[in-house]
Amino acid sequence: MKTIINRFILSSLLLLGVAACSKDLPVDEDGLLITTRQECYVSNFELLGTDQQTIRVGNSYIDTVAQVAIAYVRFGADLTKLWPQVSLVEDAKLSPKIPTYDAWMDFSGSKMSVDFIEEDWVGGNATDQLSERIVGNPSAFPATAKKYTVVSGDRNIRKEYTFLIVERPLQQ
Amino acid sequence: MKLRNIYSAILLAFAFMGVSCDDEPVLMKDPVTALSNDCIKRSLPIAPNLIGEEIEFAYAMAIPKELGQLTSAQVVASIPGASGTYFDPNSYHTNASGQDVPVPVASDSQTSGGTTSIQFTADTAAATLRFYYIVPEEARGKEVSFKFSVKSSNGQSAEYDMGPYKISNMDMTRNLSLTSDDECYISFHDNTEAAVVYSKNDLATDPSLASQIDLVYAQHASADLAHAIYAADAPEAYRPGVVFPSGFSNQTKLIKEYGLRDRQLSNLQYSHFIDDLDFQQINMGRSTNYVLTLKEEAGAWIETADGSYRAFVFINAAGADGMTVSVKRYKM
Repeated sequence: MKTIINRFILSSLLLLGVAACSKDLPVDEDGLLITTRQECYVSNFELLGTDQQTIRVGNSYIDTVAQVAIAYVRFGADLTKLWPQVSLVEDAKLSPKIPTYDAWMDFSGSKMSVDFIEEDWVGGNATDQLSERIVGNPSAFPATAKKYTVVSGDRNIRKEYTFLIVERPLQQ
Repeated sequence: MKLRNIYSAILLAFAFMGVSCDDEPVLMKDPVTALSNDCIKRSLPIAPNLIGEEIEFAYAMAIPKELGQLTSAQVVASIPGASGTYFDPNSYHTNASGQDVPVPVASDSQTSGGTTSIQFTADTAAATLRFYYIVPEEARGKEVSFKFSVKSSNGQSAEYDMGPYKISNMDMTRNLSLTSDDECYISFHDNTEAAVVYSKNDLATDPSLASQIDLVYAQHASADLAHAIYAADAPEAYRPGVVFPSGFSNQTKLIKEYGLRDRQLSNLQYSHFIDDLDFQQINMGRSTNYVLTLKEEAGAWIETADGSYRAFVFINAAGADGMTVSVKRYKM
């Protein structure tokens, strides 16, 4: 009886060990895990000025179907020296990468001039009406708009996002 | 049995007393047999030493009472200090509530050349005197060192060397007041001050000042613009209602900052200092020609159009009636 119990314990321990080892995931060239996740989208888009403070007004609008991210910025914010921050779904990567040091870049090519209509801005924030109208007309996107590709956790799915900036009109 | 116990207890107590009384005080070091001294720099060690600002030292002297008393003290600076350099004739002690209490121990100090001396008037065997050195223009970019010395009535003397201390190249001007549409023209080209502010009247009296203007300040009602400074090439769309004076053409470079609270400029508790090195190394490549929405504790790095000066402007206060700024300037 005792030997049977011992054998049972030993074999279950072995089984556990095998199970633990089989979880090893490969690591890519940046030392990041290549996982099984297939989600592939941008979750937030942030722009920092040279003073490390955000220039956005309200939240960024992200359309994961049309693959467009729009940041609404304060009137007069300088767009030539910005530090972009793009948040992604878990395990995903951005290509090309945004450097972790001295990532200041000229984002003025992403600036879109929009003819605003009523109800586009409520309480100083852009409404979905405005965001949806912009996304619905891809031909109006500036050709110089910044584009980044999101790569999923399993590295098999790649989605190119267009990043746009819309300047809020001067608030009184 | 019981009695014996009491006796032995008393005996034991006496034995303890005997042991405890044996303790003679023992000196940890050799006894002081001569005049001795010590010195510390009371100004923060990491703070840049600026022209016109003070460097503070505390010089401590003592002699055993049976040998005599202090008679005089002096300090020789390698570069004579500017006017205002002096020995505080008081020795200080700290009272129970943490306040420094002065006790006069000497006559007013005399300064001639690089030597500042003081004569003790109180019969004292120990004193700590504070020495304030005002950094003179001649010391700009150089190193200055100090030799403290003290004499006592028994003919002994002691010396203490401090330094050398590096004196910064930059200038500093604090608490300049800016008002929109009046005292709104900032120049970094003054010979002595880090920055000067010209008013509309100044400009009307002397139109040639316009070429000296590096930045124009304006305050807007809109929170999108608020407190703003502009170079001559700032886009017109972002300066509604701001008319530049004719002859203002300096395309000054600006980099907006926030939270760089230089201790000397801000007078806040943070131990951050902007020194010569920062001006030498800052990458002005990411500059713009206007800065909007400035607020308290924000600031801006500046390079003049001719590249001859770099400066940092710190916003001490930004309110309904303008801004108060402090400036450090470095000549390139």
